[in-house]
Amino acid sequence: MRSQTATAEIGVKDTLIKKPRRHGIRFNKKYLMCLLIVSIPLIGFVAFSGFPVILSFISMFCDMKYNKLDTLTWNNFANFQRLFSDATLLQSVKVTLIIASAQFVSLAIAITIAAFLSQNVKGTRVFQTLFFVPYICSTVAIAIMWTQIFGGKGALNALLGTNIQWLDNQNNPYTLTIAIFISIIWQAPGYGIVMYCSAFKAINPSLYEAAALDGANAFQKFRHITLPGITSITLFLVLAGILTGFTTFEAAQIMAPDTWTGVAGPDNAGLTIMYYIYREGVKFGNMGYASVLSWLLFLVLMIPSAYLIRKRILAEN
Amino acid sequence: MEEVIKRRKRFKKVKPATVITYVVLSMYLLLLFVPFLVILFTSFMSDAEIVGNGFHLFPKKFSIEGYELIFGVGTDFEDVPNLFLGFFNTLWQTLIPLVGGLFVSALVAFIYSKFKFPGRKALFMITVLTMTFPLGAFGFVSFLFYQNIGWVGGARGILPIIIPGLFGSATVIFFLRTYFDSALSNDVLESAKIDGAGTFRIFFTMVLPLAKPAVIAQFLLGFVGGYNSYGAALMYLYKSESLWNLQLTLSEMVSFVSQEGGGYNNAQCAVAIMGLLPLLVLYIFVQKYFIEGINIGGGKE
Repeated sequence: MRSQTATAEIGVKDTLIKKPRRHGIRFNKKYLMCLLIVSIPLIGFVAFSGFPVILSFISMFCDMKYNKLDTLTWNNFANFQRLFSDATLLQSVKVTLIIASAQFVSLAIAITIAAFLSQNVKGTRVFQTLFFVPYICSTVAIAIMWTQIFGGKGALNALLGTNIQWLDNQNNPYTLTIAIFISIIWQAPGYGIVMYCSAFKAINPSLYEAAALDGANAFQKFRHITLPGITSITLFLVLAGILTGFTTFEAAQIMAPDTWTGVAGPDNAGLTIMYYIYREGVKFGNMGYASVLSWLLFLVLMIPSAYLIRKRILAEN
Repeated sequence: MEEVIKRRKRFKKVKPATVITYVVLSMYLLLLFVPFLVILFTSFMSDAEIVGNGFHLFPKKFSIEGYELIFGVGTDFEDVPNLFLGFFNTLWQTLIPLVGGLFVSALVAFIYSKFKFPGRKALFMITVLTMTFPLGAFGFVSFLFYQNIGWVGGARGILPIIIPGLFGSATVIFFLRTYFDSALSNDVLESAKIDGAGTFRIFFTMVLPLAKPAVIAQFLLGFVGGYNSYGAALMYLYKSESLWNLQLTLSEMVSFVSQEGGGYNNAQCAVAIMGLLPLLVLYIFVQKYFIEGINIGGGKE
C-alpha cells in the first residue's frame, strides 16, 4: 500500500473542516456511503457463492426429492459410501488428469513459440496477433470443428488413409481423449505466448551482452538470465493451467458422443470430472452425489488457487 | 562506416537463425489455421458432393447449401434453432452483467483507493480473500440453490445468468484498485474537490476516463468470456429455446443437423464458422487492446 498516507484524505477533509470531530468513530453520511458501496460485492459473494456452497455442503449428507430442500433427509453417508465403489469416478479422474496435462503441453508450446517470436525478426507482431486467434474462439465452435476433423469422413482419416471413428472408437476408446487433448493444445497456448513475449521483452538486453563479454555460452545465458526472468510467469501459468485443466467441460461435453459403452464416449473416455458432475447433478438430479464430487474437486483446487492469489497479492504490494 | 560494416557482418551471421525462426513460426501458423480452412472449405460444399466424394479439401463446386440449411432457407430444416436470435441473446446476456458489474467494480475500487473510512483495510482484505476460492468447482451444484429460490424454469432461468454478475468481481476490483493507486493523482482529485465537484461527478468525469485502458481491457476479456459461455446457459435455459445464447444454439444446432439423417457435414461446418465469425471480426478491430489487456491484466510479476 504505497500511497496510503498521501491518498485518502480527500474523502474526509471537507467534513472535518466543517464540523469538529466528536468522540469515537463518526458514522457520517460519507462513511455510510463508502461502506454501502464497498459492501455490494461482499453481499453478492455471500448470496451467490456463499449460500450455494453451504447448500451443497448440506446436501452431501442428505437425500432429496426433486432437489427440494423441504424433502431433505439424513442418508447415513450414502453419498460417501458410493464414492468408494464408483468405477466411473475413477475413470473420470483418469480422463481429467490426461486432459489437464494438455495445459502443460500448451505451456511448453507457448514458451517455445514466444522464444522464436522474441528473436529480432520482422513481422513478429503479426505472428503474435495471429497466434492469439484460437484463444478467443468459442470452445463450442472449436469442438464442432474438431468433431468434423476427427469424424468418420473427416480430414484426419483422409490424411492417414484410415477409416476410424476417432471419437467413437470401440477398439481404442482413448482416441477420443487424445482428440479432446489436441483440441485444447490447439486452443490454449495463445495466452501463454503473449505473456512470455512480454516477459522476454522485460529482460534487460544488456545482461545478455555482459554475459557474452564474460564468455557465457547460450545455455548459461538461458540458465542464469532468461530462466530467472520467466519463473514467476511460468508459475502463474502452471497454476492457472491446473485450475482450467481440472475444470474442463465444454470440449468434453460436445466432442464425447453418447454410446452404448459409456455416456461420454466409449468407456467414458471423454468423461471429465466436471462433465460427470453435470450429468449426476443437473441431468439426473442427483445433487447430493454431485456435491460430494464438487467438494472433492474444490479441495484439490484450493491449494493451487490459494497459492496463486497469494502470489498475485504479494506481487501487487 | 565501421558501424555499418559491423552491422552487416552481424546480419549475415544471424541469417540462418532468422530462416529457422521464420520456418518455425510459419509451421505453427499453418498448424493453427489449417483446421479453420478445412471447415471453411467444407462449409461451401454441397452435401451431395461430400457424400459422393468423401473428404476433399477444395470444393469442386462452390455451394452455400450448408448456410441455407442452418438459416432455415428452404424446407429441409423447418424448426432449426435461430442463430440471429442466439447472437442477440448472447449480446444482452453478456453486456448487462458485464457493464453493470464493471461499473460497480470500478466504483468500489475507486472508493478503496481514494477514501478513508472505518473498516476499509479489513473489508478490502475480505474482498480479496474471496478470490482465493476456486468456486468454479461449484458451477453445477449452484443449480440446487437457484432452483430452491425459484430462479430456475422458463424465463426465470435468466436470473442466475444476469444477477450475480451485477455485484462486481473481486478480481476486477483488485486489479482496478492497483491501477487507481498508481495512475490517479491525488492532487488532481483534490483540486476538483475544491472546485466543488461531488464524488460521483468526479467518478464519471475524471476517474472513468482516466481508467479507460484498464476498463477496456477488462471489458474485452469479459466480453469474450460472456460470448463463449455455454455451461450456465445449458443448465438454466435449456428448456427455453427463445432465450438460448449463441453457444447453446450452436451446440443444439449441431445435434439437430446430425439427427437429420444424412450428416450434413457442410451445415455442421457452417455452424462452426458462424459461431467463430463475430468474434473474429471484433478481434480484427481491437486486437491491440486484447494483447495489451493481457499484458496489463495478467502479467503481474
